[in-house]
Amino acid sequence: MTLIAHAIVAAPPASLSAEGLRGRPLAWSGAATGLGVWSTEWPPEMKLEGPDAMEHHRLVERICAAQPCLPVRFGTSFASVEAARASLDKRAEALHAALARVGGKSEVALTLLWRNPAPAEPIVPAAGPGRRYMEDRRAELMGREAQRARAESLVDRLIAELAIERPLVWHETCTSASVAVSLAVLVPTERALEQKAELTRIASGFRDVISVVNGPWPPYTFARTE
Amino acid sequence: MKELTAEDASLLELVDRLLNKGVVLAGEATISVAGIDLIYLGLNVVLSAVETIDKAQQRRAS
Amino acid sequence: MSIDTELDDLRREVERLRGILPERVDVDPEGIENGLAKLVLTLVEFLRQLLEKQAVRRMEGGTLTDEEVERMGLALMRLEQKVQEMARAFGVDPSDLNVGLGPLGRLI
Repeated sequence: MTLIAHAIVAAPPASLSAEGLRGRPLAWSGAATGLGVWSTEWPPEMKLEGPDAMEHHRLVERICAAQPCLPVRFGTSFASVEAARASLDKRAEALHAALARVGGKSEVALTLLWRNPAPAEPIVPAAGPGRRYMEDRRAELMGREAQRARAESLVDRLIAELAIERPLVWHETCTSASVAVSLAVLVPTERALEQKAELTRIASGFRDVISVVNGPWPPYTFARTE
Repeated sequence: MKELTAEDASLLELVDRLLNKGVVLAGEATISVAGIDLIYLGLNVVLSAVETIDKAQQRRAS
Repeated sequence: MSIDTELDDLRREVERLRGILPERVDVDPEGIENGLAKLVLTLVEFLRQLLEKQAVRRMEGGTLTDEEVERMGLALMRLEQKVQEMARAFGVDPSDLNVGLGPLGRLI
């Protein structure tokens, strides 16, 4: 049976009464080096679909609530239990380190959306269509560059006010036309709601963006091996 | 360009976590996820090309 | 003027998608055809936007005559129209071709 991995934890596994994806069995496979992976037993020829991603998320949430865990990228699979064990053993040191970094922690996410669309087009007197096109493109480009600069300064303000060490904050700017900033903070789970309130408070001070706060979520963004 | 509602933004962020974040165990098989454009396969090829251009630029600049 | 910002955008976008390995792509044949058309057109559109940005920077550089700016603008307009025509010919909505919006825009 193929295994679809959800999260890696340190032995022993918590007692978890949960089903895997689509009601299939949820199993824990322990490796020699003290780590194990929670997975769904899955027929290899079957495809994953959108709703499975959300179910995976709910499973990861339950696992993380039961014990410190390291979320695994959705869709990662092992050909067999032996393959799962071998993979964990091979990367044992890095995985233990990653688990130590994020275990028992959650991420809180902040998204800043531009309140107003990009500025209006310039008026170019008595110019040919080619010139007008170029001026339009120039205005667009300058608008985007101004947005980018503003987004970076928003990030600087956020990080300064949050007073959190850099490795515990992740961010991206201008990820789409509407999104100025996408930011995530890694916090101990018991402080997550407090951190959410703090983020909401700080972000509400920015007049030109609408803030959306999400989480606490399992620490997906910070779950990586160095 | 469509404008995002707060709900859209939240969904977008969560799906981004689910599809793009979380520990990657290199070399492990991944089961295909239906409905994802082939474009994402092709962009991996472009990345290699972009890296090559970038390295060439850096060499010229130094 | 360097094209670092554009390369950064593309690289960041691709890095985000890199976790989706080839095995994760649905290999249904009909999907592949549509997918290939969209892939090629998205790359063409990305390059077209890159070209436009370079042209605007040249214009800002102040070394072009009015006539040269006019000709450049007309050429870029035609290029934009051409890409949109090609997209529609393949049954792809031109507004779907924006790499910057990312794959998840489709889910909205």
